[in-house]
Parts: sequence; structure tokens; C-alpha cells
Amino acid sequence: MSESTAKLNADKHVEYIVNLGRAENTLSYHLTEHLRLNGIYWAITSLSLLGRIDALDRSAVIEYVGNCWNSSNGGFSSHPNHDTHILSTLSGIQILITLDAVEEAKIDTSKVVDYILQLRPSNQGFFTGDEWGESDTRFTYCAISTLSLLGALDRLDQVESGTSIKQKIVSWFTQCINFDGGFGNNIGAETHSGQVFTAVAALAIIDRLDIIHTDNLSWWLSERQVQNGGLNGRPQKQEDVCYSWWVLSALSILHRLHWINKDKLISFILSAQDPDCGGIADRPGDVSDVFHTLFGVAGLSMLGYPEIERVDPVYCMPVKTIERLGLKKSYTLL
Amino acid sequence: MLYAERDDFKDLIPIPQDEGPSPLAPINYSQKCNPHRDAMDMFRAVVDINEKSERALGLTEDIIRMNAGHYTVWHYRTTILVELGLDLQSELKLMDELSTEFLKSYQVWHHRRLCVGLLATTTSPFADKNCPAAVTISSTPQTSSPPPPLPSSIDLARYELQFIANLFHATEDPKNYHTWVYRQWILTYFDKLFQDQDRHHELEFIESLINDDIYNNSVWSHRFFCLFKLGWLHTSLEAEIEYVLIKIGIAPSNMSSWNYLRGILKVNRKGLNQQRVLQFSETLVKAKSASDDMNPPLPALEWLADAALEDKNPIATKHYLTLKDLDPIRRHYWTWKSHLALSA
Ligand SMILES: [Zn+2]
Repeated sequence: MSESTAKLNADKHVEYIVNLGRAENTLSYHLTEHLRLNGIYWAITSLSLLGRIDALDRSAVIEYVGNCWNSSNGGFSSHPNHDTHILSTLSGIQILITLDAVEEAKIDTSKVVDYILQLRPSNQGFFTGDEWGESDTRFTYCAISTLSLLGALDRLDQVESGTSIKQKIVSWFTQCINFDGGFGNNIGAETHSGQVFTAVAALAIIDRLDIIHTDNLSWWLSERQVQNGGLNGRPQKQEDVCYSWWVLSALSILHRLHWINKDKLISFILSAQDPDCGGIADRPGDVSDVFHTLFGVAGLSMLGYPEIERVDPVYCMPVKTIERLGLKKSYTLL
Repeated sequence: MLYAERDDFKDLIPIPQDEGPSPLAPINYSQKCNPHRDAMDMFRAVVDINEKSERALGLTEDIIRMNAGHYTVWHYRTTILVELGLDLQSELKLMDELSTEFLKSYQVWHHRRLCVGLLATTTSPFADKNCPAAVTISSTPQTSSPPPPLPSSIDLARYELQFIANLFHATEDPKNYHTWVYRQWILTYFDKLFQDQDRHHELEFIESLINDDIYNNSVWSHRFFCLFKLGWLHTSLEAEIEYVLIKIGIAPSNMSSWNYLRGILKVNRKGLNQQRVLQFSETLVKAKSASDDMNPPLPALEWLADAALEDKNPIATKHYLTLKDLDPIRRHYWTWKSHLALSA
């Protein structure tokens, strides 16, 4: 497929996503149980951005998500009867809110809020993924995003040993800032585009982007674009379609999205489409998957590609959904 | 042999997954032999009666080998180990094998960290293979801040560092994120136990990785972590700058070493206008510009531009416009910088 003629194959992608559910007796379906709820979130959000959210059976999705909710501890698991985890909890809430079905699913959101809050070790400014967990900027983003989506951000104002939870979070993120202006998953860990997104978006939600060295970090992010137009996650690593999400969303929140060469990135994303089976892969020629399909479509959305709904760079959900909740933050899309 | 047919599990009735309503399509329940499903059905039977036993431990290992990302199974495994007070050193040996096989699995490293945290805080010396660690664990382990390691665990820490070094070599993947995060956890957690020889050893390790691949950003990041986060720098800052310049001389367009150089100046509250670095950059730019088929190394030119901007020297604008020509993919950034320089 030549660069100039490539187009988004939206119908194929919708077909690809819908067909994923027909693969239930395959081994790979069973091996990804621990990602199932995330997978449905990636599917729902892709379809929503492609304007085809009706392609999946809404009530079946809601019932499934409801079955993943653990009413005793308040979290969601990736699959019914698995252990709850912060990653699947955010996905569960994102799916239900996108479908405007939190009440319909009979989820007690105050329990979800309590589940999230107890994943912060006392006196710490980070959240863990589950009760066995480790600190991670990613899990901290999941916690803050979930609380915000549930309208419970004010719970972070609670004071503990003299400082609010929010202040502890800000000081933890401050400690995580690296010499290149970026963020790793922990204090001192190598800057990584994915972790940069989680830190920037979390700080955007709690209105504390002021601690970020905006120009420094944005420069590091725009350095991620390689000659073929794709973006990588770290210097000298291979370009990958999913960084179209991680890098662009952070740049959008920092109002520096125009530092990316838009046309080159669009052709890179389009070249990673599977022309036969649909879906988008990590890079041209590889097998497509729903994760890279979402992040490819979301990247195109931020770049202003025609006939794709706008995605919110803070929450990775449709802009219209975030506007309905009144949670829209300041950012720039192309 | 399937678990459903095994003699040693015949007292248990496998529990099939209740798929519930399918969100995506009607269920097409395959009766074909599926070892993962078979093991999971037996796992549900084990969890159902909350059995903590050696055979349950073996079952979790089987499932993990088929699916290393299944954190519910990992959790159950940890609980069995702890409740039965099993030998965590043999668990660590198993992790040696599994970390190599499932290098990119978050769970493998997470489990390893739990084991090491437990081993380091128990009294059984690491070398004593006959004495299983007697461990107690609360229902909500605060692994984020485990108690400090016992002095006797220094050998464990050294073992871990050596293991990772070997692993980088064996897997030829010295950029694996989880592994680096784990190594930094070891260095932080055991920091007070380490002696000069250990720090010296770590710096030698870093040096060897930089020599293997000077573009490995993870190693540069790790060097910063050791010297400036853990505070191991024992030479002068000037000596460290000289060190970086030598490395930049070998690979003048290497963003990792240039970023590192900016980082160590910033953390020491120094600007870019270091005579030594300016001279060095100018020489690089001139040498390359002299031969017509070669562009000057962009980071060297960028350094000169940013240093000039810092000084409000108008030459900055000219440098940025050159950079815009040489690096068109980022032309909007360079244009913005040139405007900044004009208005400075
Ligand atoms: Zn990817």
C-alpha cells in the first residue's frame, strides 16, 4: 500500500473487532482471560471512535461487565471470578460510562471508590495495582482517572498526617521527574512514553501540570518520531503504533501536539492496517490486535483524521462522553 | 496427562468456567483437548476448597508456564508458599528459570520481588539450603515498603545483581524495562548493606553495558540513578563531564549521552554554558561541516543553540534555522525555538 493512497479501512476494523468475540474456543482466547475486560474496553472505545458502537450487543456487554464486578471488595476483575485489579476496575468503569450504563449495571459506585482508595498504602502518594502491589505511575493514573470518572476526586482532599492525599500524590510525581523531564514507572526509573502519558494525564486531572517542565518534556516526546513517521517509546527503540496514543495524548495535554509531523505519522499508522482481516498492528506487516487498533484509531483521531470521533487525551474515551460528565480539561487536538 | 484424568487429583471435581453471558458472540463451547482449560478447571476446584498443598503449588506452576500473565494464579501461589512455609530459595531458583523464559512478564518480576523481600527479612541465611524460611505475612502485605533487609541478606542482594547481569547477557535484551526497575529496587532496598566493592562492581557493570551498546538509553538512565539518585558519585562533576564527552566523541549523535550530560548539569544547578562542552561541541560541528557530504551532529548544534539562547546571544536564531533545515520532521519545534531566540 503506497503512502499517498492509504485510507482508513473503518469497515474492516469494525468487522475485525466484532469477529474477535467469535474466537472463544481458541487457545489464545483462554490465555488472555486476564486481559478480557481491558479488551472489551479497547473494543468499545475503538467502535465508539469509528461511530459504530452499536456493532456490539450493548446489553450483553453490560451484563458481562456486571459479572466482573466484585460486590464484596468493590473492584472489577478481568473475567468473572478472577481477582480484582485496578487495571480492570478502570476498564469496567470506562466501558459502563461510555455506554452510559453505570446504573443499569447496578454497580454501587461508592464501593468502587472505596476499593480504589484502599489501594494506596498509608502515607504514600501512589496507588498499587492490587493488594500485593507495587508503586507505579500507571496504577496511580488508573486510580485518579477512576475517581474522577466517578465524581469522587474530592476524596483526595482528605488530610492524613498533616498533608492531603492530593499533596502526597503531587510530591510523589515530583520525585518521579527524571533528568530528561520525563517519567518512568517509579522514582528514578527510565523515562518511557507510556509512563509519561500516565503521569501527565493524572496531573492534568488533579490540575497540577505546573510541576512538569513542559518544554523539556515536550521536546523529549517529539524526539520520539523517527524518520518513517512512527513514534517510539524510548530512544533507540523500535517505532510502534501504540505510541501514537501515549506520545500524542501527552503532547496534546501539554498543548504541543503540533511539534509532531502529522502527515508522516498518519501514513505510518495507516500502513500498519491489515488490509485483509482488518485491525491495526504494532507496525506494518505484523498481526493486528485490538489494543493497537484502538491506539492507532485514537492517534488518528487526535491528528484530525476525517470521519473519526474525537478522543479525549486525558481519559482515552470519546470527547462527547467526557463532556457529558463535565470533566473536560484543557488540551489541543489537531 | 490432563488434570481431569490424573490419579493424584481424582478426589477433586474440576469446575468449568462459568462463562456467563458472552459480550461478543454466542458461546461455542469446545470439547477439544485444551490443557490450559483443563488446568484452570482444576485450579478452580482447588481454590474452591481453599487447598494449600504441594500439588496445588505444582498446578499453579503448570498454569504459569502456559500463561505467565495470570495474576490470580500467581497470587494463589504466593499464598501457598507463605502458608506452608515452603523453601523460598528453591522458589527463587524456579524464578531464575521463569524470569529467563518470561522476561517481559510483569508478574514474574513482581513475584521475584515478593520472594526476595521475604527472604531478606527472615533469619535463615541465604546460603543455608536446609533451613526453609519461616515467614509470616499479613493478609495485606505492604510490599511497597517492606521492613529493612537483615545484614545477612547481602549475599542475596549480590546474587540478584549477578543474576540480572547474566540474564541481560543470555537474553540479549539489556533494555527490558521490568528488569531494570527490578534491579533499581534491589539497589534501593539493600542500599545500606552495600559496600564500596559492590558500588564499584555496579559501575563496572554499567561501563561494560555502555561499551556493548553506547546507544542503550536504559544504561545511561541507570548510570544517572546510581551516581545522582543513590549518590554514588565519588569523583568531581568535571570528571564525569569528561567521561561523557569521551562517549559522545565515539557516537556524536547519540541522544542518550547528550541528554545525560544535560541532566547532570541540571541536577547540579549548572547552565549549558560550560566552556569545555561549548568548545567540544564547536569542534564537532566544524569537523563535520568541513566535509560536504556529512551533516553536523544535531545534538552538538542544538547544544550551541540552547547555550546561546540561555545567554541571549542572537547567533541562536541562526543555529535553530539550520536545525530546522537538517531535521525537517521537527520543523515546528525548531521554528518555535528560533522565534524564542529572536524575542530573547
Ligand atoms: Zn505497542
